[in-house]
Amino acid sequence: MRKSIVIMCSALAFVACGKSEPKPGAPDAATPAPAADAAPPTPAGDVAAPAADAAKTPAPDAGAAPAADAAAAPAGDASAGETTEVVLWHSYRAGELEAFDKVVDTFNNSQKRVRIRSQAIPYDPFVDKVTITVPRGQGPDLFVFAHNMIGNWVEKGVLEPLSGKVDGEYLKQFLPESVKALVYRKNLYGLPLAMKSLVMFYNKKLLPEAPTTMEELVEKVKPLQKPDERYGIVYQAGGLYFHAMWIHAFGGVIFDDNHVPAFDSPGHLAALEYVRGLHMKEKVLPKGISGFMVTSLFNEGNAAVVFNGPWFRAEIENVDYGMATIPTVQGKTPKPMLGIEAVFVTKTSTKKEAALEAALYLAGADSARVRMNLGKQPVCQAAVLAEGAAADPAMKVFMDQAQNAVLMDSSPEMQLLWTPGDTAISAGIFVEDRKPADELKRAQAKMVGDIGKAEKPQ
Amino acid sequence: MVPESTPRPSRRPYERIADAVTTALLVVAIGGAAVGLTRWDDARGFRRLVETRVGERVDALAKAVANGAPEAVNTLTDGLASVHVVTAGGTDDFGISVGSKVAVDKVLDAIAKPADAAAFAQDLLNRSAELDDYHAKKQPIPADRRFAAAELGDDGQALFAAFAPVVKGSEYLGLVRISERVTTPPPSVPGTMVWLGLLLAVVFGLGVSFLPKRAPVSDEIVPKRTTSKVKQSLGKAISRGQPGSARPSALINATLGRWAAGLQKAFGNPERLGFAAAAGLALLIALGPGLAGSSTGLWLWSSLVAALCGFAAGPGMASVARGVREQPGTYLYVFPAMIGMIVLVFIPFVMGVALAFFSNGEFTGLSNFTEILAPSATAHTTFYSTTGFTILWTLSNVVLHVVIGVSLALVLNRKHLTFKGLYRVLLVVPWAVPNYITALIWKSMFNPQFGAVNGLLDVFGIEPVNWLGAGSSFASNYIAALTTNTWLGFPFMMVVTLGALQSIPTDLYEAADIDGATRWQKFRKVTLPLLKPALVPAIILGVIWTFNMFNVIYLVSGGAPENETNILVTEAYYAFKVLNRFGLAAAYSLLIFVILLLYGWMQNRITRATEGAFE
Repeated sequence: MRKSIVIMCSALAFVACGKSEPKPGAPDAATPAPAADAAPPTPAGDVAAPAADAAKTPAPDAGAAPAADAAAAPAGDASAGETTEVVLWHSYRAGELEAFDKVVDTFNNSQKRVRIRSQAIPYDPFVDKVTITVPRGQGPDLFVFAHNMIGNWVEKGVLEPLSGKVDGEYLKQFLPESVKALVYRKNLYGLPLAMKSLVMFYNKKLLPEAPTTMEELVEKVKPLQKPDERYGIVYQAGGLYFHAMWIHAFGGVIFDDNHVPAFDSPGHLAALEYVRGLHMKEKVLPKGISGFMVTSLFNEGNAAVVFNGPWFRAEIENVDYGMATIPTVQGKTPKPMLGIEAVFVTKTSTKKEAALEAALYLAGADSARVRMNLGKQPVCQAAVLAEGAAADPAMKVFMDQAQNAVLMDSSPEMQLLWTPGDTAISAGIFVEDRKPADELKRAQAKMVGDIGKAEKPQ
Repeated sequence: MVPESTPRPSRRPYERIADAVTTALLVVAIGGAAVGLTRWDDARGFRRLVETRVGERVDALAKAVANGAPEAVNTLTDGLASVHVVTAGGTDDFGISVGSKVAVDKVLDAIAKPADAAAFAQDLLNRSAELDDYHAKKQPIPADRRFAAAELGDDGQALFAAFAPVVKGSEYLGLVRISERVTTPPPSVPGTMVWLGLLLAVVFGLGVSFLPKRAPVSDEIVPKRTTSKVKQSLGKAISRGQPGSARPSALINATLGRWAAGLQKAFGNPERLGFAAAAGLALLIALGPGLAGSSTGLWLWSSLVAALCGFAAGPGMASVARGVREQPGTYLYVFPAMIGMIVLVFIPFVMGVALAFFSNGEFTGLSNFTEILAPSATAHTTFYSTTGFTILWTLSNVVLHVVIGVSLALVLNRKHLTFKGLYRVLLVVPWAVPNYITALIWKSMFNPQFGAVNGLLDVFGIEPVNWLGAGSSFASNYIAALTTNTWLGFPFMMVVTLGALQSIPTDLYEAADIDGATRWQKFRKVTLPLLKPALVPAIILGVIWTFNMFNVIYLVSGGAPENETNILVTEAYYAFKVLNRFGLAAAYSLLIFVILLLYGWMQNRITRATEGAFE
């Protein structure tokens, strides 16, 4: 009996377990804060929490808008010669990490005002860590993540708006889509670093030339296939993220104009039927593919074509491969989801001035060049990306694909779409006795139901 | 032998103190919580009041501004601390709001002067952009975007600000922000009332110690029943109005005795009722007057809870208090463990229980439970179907665990088995590997196309089965999860059984051999009964573990095909993580707790009964 109580209590306790997260990124107390912030730390969740008002904004001259040139934005009392250390969280690995570290080092050595202490946080707990620590004032001063969590984070008081603090001219150096991604409720919340969208990777030994239409691609890969060994098209077709490009090609949308999921629509059905045809009729698309299997099949030379993102380049070994934009289907252009990786300043940071200065540098051209050349990132800085595209055909592919991509939705509701979407799409494509139309109807009902059930901001 | 003149030993003084302390503790805990809740309730009520008042005012002002010009605010400024009006601009190419301006910036009360004017202005512009977006999307403006409060000092003064969009037709023109100085009213229950409750509790607690602790079992040979019969007849005689036979003191004694007997019959021990009444009354008297007008009925609730706690825990707490007095050393040793249990188990548990009655920061009573227990007709899986599956899952698992575990233990227990040690180590391995790693390995093995399971089936010429993922059936998901958990669960049963087998004396088997028992008879009549004391607790544990086996379900089937293979705890996780509704998740947890509590209670009753049969 006692045991059952103990076990149940731990089951109950897991509800609150997130709150005991460690805080590796707690700002160093020894570092003098630049701002004369008299405001006490906000007790998050308090009924009478002082809101985003006069008393709370510590930045001394935030409204004075640091101009386009980041280097010429001296913090109020930085003239005293003291260095402000800001903590940055990111989840970069491998080549991207190397490049990012180099950028940070360059910045730290180039001036004495601001010093970035960069900390790598594993990707999986990243969202939870930020969401939990920042509103309690224990998080970093700035962090790097994809744009699709913006809605949640703004509503939970994680992000500091940058409107008015970043000059409009400064933003013009980026691809317009990448800045648009960082705007939520007409305010700017971050500075774009890199973009991620699907493109086509093909094995040059099997396919010397990149096909430009799906019809051509299917015809070309059919003779290359070997039963249970080599496949024509390998990608995680059952996932909403991967399937979205077909949805957009056939005129479907994720959310309609009233921000209601629109899965039960002709466009979605056509997309699902098309990919189902690739699997069932053309037999060029195997089922049950995981991300790991995509990599191993391609590296073994057993996948002619793969649809994957820029991160895939680091995983390819010993394959002579080419890259191209996603081929058109029935004359329509597939538009994959576009994710923008950005640097954000946190709302509870006590060093927002310095954090913004660091962010402006990290997004800027010098940094972009290193991140692109060393880290192989398709950066959002338009001029640098154009430079890269001239030198590296792969960068050109990413740049071209970005023209035909749809920004991932950044509202909180999007988070409730992934699971039902994946279920419907994988069943609709791969299962003999399921009807795509029924699957979409069911997914639609589940999505609308979950959005109704989920906690709404008051 | 106690002399006849004293029916029971007189109580030592500290027993009375223990009773008083017990009642006082109950009152402090429950009264404190109740007062805390009322403070919270006060603050919320006051905030709502102010929100409504200031909200209406700012809306009226926004309307006036929409109809006139920003200057319209000049006529409506009495009592306000500050007024600000922002006129909306447009958006740039990126959709960022630009060109909006602070048109009116009037600070009437020096206290409302922002510390940093530029940052304050920027915040106003940002807020205007947000309100613009809410307006454009026809969404209601959430309260945290509409109101803001900041404490000014410790004298209950606060600055309360409200925002309203200025809208003309469908066009968004800007926003109005007003702020007002508000003074928090005094709390509805003064803190002194808790002290009064405490004092009363001490007095009542002392009173409890005068109650007969147990039924007055006399020291004479007279059986209990006879005593009560005597007293009953005595009582009857008195009620019939036949005086003379008994003196007044005897009359009171008899009445008390009769009551005590009746109460004892109904509740087991009058002491319990005493504690219940003492704690409940103390709170009722202390909190009742202050909260009588409150709509929540909080005073009644807290008194009831106090009474219930007094009934359930009073005697036990009192005996602990006595124990502390009698054996302080013992409690000194237990103290660290008690602190650990309180901090790590009881406080989270109480918080979890409390959380189940909240939704989105608001007290919503039982609505989380009704949402779970009365699901909508269209819901694909309901609490009941999930509970059904959870029970099926638990039963099938534990049966397999026990059968496989006991069989393997019997095999391993053979004396002349070669490589016995090796087998034992190998069979314990599944238990030693962290279960989520095992779950992930099994998940890959069940991969329809590349997994080992279908590979094995292929060797036997069986068609590959679509175990997990898209379009897989309920049965295949269930079998996959079941296989994984059986793999994880049997070593525990095996180890327990092995241990118990070692302790069965061999002479029992020798005796059985002499009696000519067959192998089966030996197993049935000797091994199994002697395994029972070890196996029953293991099965109870196994049931509880399996009932809440989150890792396997979540990682292997993930509830596929469509939530059918979700168990209750994965549903709770879904409410917690995906829907972000902590209250709903806590309600699920509480329901799981109740189910397991019932199970544990039943199991206890049953095993106690069957144990008796074997003795």
